[in-house]
Amino acid sequence: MVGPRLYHYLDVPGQHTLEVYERNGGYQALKKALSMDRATLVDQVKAAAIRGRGGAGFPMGNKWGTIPPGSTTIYITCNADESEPGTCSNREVLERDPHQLIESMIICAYALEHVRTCYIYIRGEYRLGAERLNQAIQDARAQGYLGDNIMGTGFNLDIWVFRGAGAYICGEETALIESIEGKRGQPRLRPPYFPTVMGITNKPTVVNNVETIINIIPVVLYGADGYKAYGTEKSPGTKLYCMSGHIKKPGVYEAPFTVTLRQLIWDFAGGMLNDRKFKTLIPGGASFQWFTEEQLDTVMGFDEVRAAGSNLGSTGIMVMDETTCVVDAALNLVHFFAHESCGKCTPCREGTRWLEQIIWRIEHGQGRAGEVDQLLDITDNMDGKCFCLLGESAIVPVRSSISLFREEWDHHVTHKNCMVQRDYRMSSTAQPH
Amino acid sequence: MAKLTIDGIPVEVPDGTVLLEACKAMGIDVPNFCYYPKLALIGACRMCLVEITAGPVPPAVFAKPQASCTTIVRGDGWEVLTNSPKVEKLRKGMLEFLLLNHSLTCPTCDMGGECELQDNTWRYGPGISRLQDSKAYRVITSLGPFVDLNMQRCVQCQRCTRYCDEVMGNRALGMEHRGAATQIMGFPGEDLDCVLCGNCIEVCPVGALTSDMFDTKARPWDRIETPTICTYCADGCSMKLDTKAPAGPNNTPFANDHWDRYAVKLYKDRGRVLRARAFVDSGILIEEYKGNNQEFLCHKGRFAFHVINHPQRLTQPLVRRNGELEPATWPEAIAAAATGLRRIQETNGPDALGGIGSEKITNEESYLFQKFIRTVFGTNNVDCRVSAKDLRTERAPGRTQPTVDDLYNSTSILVVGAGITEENPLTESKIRLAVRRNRASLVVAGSRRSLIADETTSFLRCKPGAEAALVYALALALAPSRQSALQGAVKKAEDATLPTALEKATQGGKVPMEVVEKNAQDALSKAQDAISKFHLSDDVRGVLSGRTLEDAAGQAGVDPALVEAAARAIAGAPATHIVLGQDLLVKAPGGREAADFLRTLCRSFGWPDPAELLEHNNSRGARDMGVLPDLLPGYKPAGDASAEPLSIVWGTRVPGATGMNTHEMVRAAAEGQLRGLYVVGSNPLVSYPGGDLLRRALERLDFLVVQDAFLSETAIHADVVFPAAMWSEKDGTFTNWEGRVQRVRPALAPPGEAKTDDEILVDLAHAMGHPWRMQSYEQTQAEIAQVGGIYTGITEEALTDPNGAGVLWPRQNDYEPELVPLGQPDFSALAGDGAYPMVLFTGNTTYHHGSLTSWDEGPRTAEPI
Ligand SMILES: Cc1cc2nc3c(=O)[nH]c(=O)nc-3n(C[C@H](O)[C@H](O)[C@H](O)COP(=O)(O)O)c2cc1C
Ligand code: SF4
Ligand code: SF4
Ligand code: SF4
Ligand code: FES
Repeated sequence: MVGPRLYHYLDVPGQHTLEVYERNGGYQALKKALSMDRATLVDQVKAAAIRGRGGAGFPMGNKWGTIPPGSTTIYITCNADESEPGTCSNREVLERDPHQLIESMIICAYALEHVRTCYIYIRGEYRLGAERLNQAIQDARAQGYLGDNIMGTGFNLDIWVFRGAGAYICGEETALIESIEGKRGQPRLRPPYFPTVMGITNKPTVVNNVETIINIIPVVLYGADGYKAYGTEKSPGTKLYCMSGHIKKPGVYEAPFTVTLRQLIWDFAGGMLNDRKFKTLIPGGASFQWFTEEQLDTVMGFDEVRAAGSNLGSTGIMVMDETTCVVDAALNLVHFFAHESCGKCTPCREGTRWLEQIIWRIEHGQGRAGEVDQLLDITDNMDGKCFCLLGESAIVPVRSSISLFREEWDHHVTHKNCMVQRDYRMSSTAQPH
Repeated sequence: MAKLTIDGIPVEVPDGTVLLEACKAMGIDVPNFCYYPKLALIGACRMCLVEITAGPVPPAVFAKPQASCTTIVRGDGWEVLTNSPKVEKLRKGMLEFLLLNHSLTCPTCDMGGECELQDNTWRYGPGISRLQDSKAYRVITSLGPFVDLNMQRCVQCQRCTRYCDEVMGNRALGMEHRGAATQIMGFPGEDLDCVLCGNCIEVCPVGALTSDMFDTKARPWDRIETPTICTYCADGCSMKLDTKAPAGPNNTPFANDHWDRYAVKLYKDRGRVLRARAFVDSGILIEEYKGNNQEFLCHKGRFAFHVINHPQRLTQPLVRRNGELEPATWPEAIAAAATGLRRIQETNGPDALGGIGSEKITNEESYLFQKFIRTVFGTNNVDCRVSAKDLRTERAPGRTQPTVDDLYNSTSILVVGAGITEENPLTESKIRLAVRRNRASLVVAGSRRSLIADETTSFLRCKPGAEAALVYALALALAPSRQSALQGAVKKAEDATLPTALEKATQGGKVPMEVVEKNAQDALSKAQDAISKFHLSDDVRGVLSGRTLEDAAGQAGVDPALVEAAARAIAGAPATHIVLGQDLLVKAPGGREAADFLRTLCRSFGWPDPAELLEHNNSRGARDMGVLPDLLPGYKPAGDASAEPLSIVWGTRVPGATGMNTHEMVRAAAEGQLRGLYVVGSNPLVSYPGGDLLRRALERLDFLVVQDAFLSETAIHADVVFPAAMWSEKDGTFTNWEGRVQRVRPALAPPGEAKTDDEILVDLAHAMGHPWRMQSYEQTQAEIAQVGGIYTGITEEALTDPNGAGVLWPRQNDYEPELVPLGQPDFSALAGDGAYPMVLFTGNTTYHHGSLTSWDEGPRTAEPI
């Protein structure tokens, strides 16, 4: 491993096998960690300020600090549910470098001491990922990296792979915990169910994204200072940016947090598809405010993007060019949320469906006068009133696209057609029911 | 205490109060759906959102509206707005969302007119819907013969699913699909597979879950609700009986055809009970008596009301003529009964007569019945216990005996010898809630596996009939276990007073030293106090000495290690609440002695007396009233000393000698010494444990009078049968096992010529030369208090106070029964008999209680007999 680069060996053939992984320096960090004093290890993680990659950017070390002192049973759960639209960085790790995750989880568990069992909650559709993880766990166990008395230290640990059943909400950490407990995937009430206080079977449970967890390897290998040499002060290290949409080379790119959107689109992803004009993008998956031309020079760190009015989220960057109809795009996204709403709370369950119905009509030339304002009013009735962030996110594409491109919405309603020359429609033509 | 201002009005509530409750307490209505006091908080419906503008919470809380049902207030400085423009708008929005896909079938909905969604929309909702699109498809289906489901009316509050799981322990209801397609369901394609309590119907705030047995029988404004008490088990749930308004035309007065048909539907079910319901703790503020069950009823309480409407109810008296029971007029029947009974009284003496009472009729009737037997017959041959095997002297509940509420709030509970899920469903549900809400330690010991056993890892299952041996095994484990637990507590408290521990407790100076020291000292003196109260009495020592846990557990057929582990779970508790059931008390050999022993042991431990569960709705009351051969009203032992003052009040000589109990009467009748019997409100031929002997006895009797609502198996043998009213037709009180006296009211007039038991008693007394006067239930109450020295201070106001739940007389009267001297139990006799390897255990089931439910179509449908 060279520098804090998570994807360094991703393309090496056979990297998912233990043999190749070890040849490329695998499990060296674990050996080093096991030789370290636990307190030092925890201090290093805290000092490295690894920001959570699952969306909120909450530093991993701080999360550890919220575990009630004296807890005797702690679970670590890796959130590999990766269901945010436009987001696929975890998949690469799970399929092509699974040992990296296993090794990182063992280090985390060792650092927290009272961990006997870890779970990896993997998105149901990631079949290959689940297979490779299971194989990796089996091999690591055979090699003595997992199981009882790990590498002669007396430390015991098991890791279980738990496959999701196709619900976006199960990526939300408390719904994920419900799901692991065998219950219906719905978010839990906080307080009291803060995962690090009352998680799986009411025991402290640390939930972290795949990408967050694997950052522990460079921290162990190079120390907090070495790790912090990359990125910005508040967002140290590198990030896996998932680029999709109207660009030449969609894919996942690793870059330090100092990279700008412009660099990502034109230097990494090869520029706009067919060299068309850039129109808008979403910087962090489906759930956050859209950016236009003006924000292209934003540095893609957690706090910088927030300052620019949006959120880094899952860094699923979806780029749209001038042929995009924003009504079409909003419909596509709202359909996603309506489909994924868990149904627990009223505004999200009923509101998302209604929004989708109205937007579908507007998109298909059946909008009525006043319905754009009505959409805004419905989003206002949802805003800040939903039980979890899914419902709160569902209104963002509607609000963001209306506030940025109101004239397009009005055109749809008054002229019953679209003012944008588009190549194809992205949303489904089937009427929601 | 937490200090708040709500809508500008200052208020103080205890720390830990739910904000919504604080609003309710001030009379401020906050609309809500998913909040339900007994259930876990989920904050799902978002109906109760309010604005919090200040308070000891992170600033993020002020940024958006907060669910008042999940906000727990602690500390000072809260400022809450429930009426701001923001809140008003969001309520409109939320109700618009809820009504979007709602079918709005209010005109044909059973809940129309008493629906929380209607009421909240009326108060806070938008008058119109902006929906221009199609409604979501949602299913309408039946979940079996009791519960119907209409998802088009569901507000997805999850009260039903949570109740089913958290209170009933059933998990028969769940949710399927997600988003707008979410629906409530049972197991796919199957009827509900559960205890069929129907509480899901009760807690549903809308008409999504409804009673299949009621199904559009009446609109709320066409109904009369009569609050009364259930007639089945001894838990004494309060309930409402729904009947149709009696006012209005009997025959069709309207010329118009259309109105004719309306009138037919409107008056169709008059004179019948249409439904039994409990009292919903709904979002709407209503003040009414909710008893100690609130919304809870079990299957029998909710669905076994058809018995009232049964076509075979007796409507006129019957008199045996030429060997056949034939209809007669009241004067004829009364005269026939009086003549028959008088003849025996005169030729064979009063002690050739006897009376078998009932654990079902009201307190007032029971009181009059025993007075009748004691004065008009002139004998103490009277008993109310028909189904019990063991008829030893009864004991009153003492003031420390736990109540259902004590169990609900308890942190340590032991249940012995009770099929409690089946026989005392309300008590059981409160125990389950204690386990789930307070994490109470629970030990269940007995031979029947009840559903409550699923709530604990300490289920000790003994051989049938060996309950008593298990009690001694538990005691042998508990005594040393409690001693060491208390010693351990003292040691720990002492350690906490050491300087290093004190230093640590200050949390680096955060807590002042004085406070820490005082806390440690308080804890120490509490622990020392507990151990000083621990003192095994000589009686207890006498029983325990020379016996081993292994022996006793072996007799019970339980692993001694399990008994020890179970004892450890409850031994250290400041108060372990013990509940003793019928299996121990009246069925297992030696059970009574074991119960006496436990009571003594509890006093040694400083624990409250064990609660003794009883079988029927008024088992406690009938005992309190002295429908017993050896006890007069108020548990005064029969004998000249107590009979003397009673004779003065009653104006007649009261016999001094103890009478015959049920077994003795049956035996005496079979042998020809007892010649005449008066049976009121019970059916011994079905419930008495010795059928053959009783049959012989009935055949040999010279004269049998039976007073019942049906021509029961016993009544068929009678010479005179009086048609009696049922509980749904009477005024009076019932007393549940706790000693809680509650008010019973008539929902209907008795069918045909049937009369209430007190009316019949008065008529018969007259005919037998005792000029009794008809008196109201209150007058009888006053007499009971005067004669029995119990039930004092029971007034109509106290009985109907909506903030209370009846009158708990043992507490009210500060009643403390004496301990009974303990004998030496013979363990070997408890373990069953080698010649009869099978043990038959009788008891009530989830769907049947006593013999009454066998007439009812509800339980018959649930579990055909
Ligand atoms: C609706 C919703 C979906 C989410 N989905 C994911 C997900 O797929 N993967 C993920 O890592 N975090 C997801 N999260 C965030 C998690 O709740 C949680 O914050 C995260 O796993 C914490 O990990 P981190 O500290 O490593 O970021 C989601 C959150 C919400 C509200
Ligand atoms: S906002 Fe409500 S309905 Fe939507 S996913 Fe969250 S809890 Fe479920
Ligand atoms: S059926 Fe009734 S109780 Fe159950 S979720 Fe729906 S509205 Fe609530
Ligand atoms: S039988 Fe008992 S638990 Fe059931 S409703 Fe009646 S009193 Fe309540
Ligand atoms: S969210 Fe408070 S009552 Fe439903």
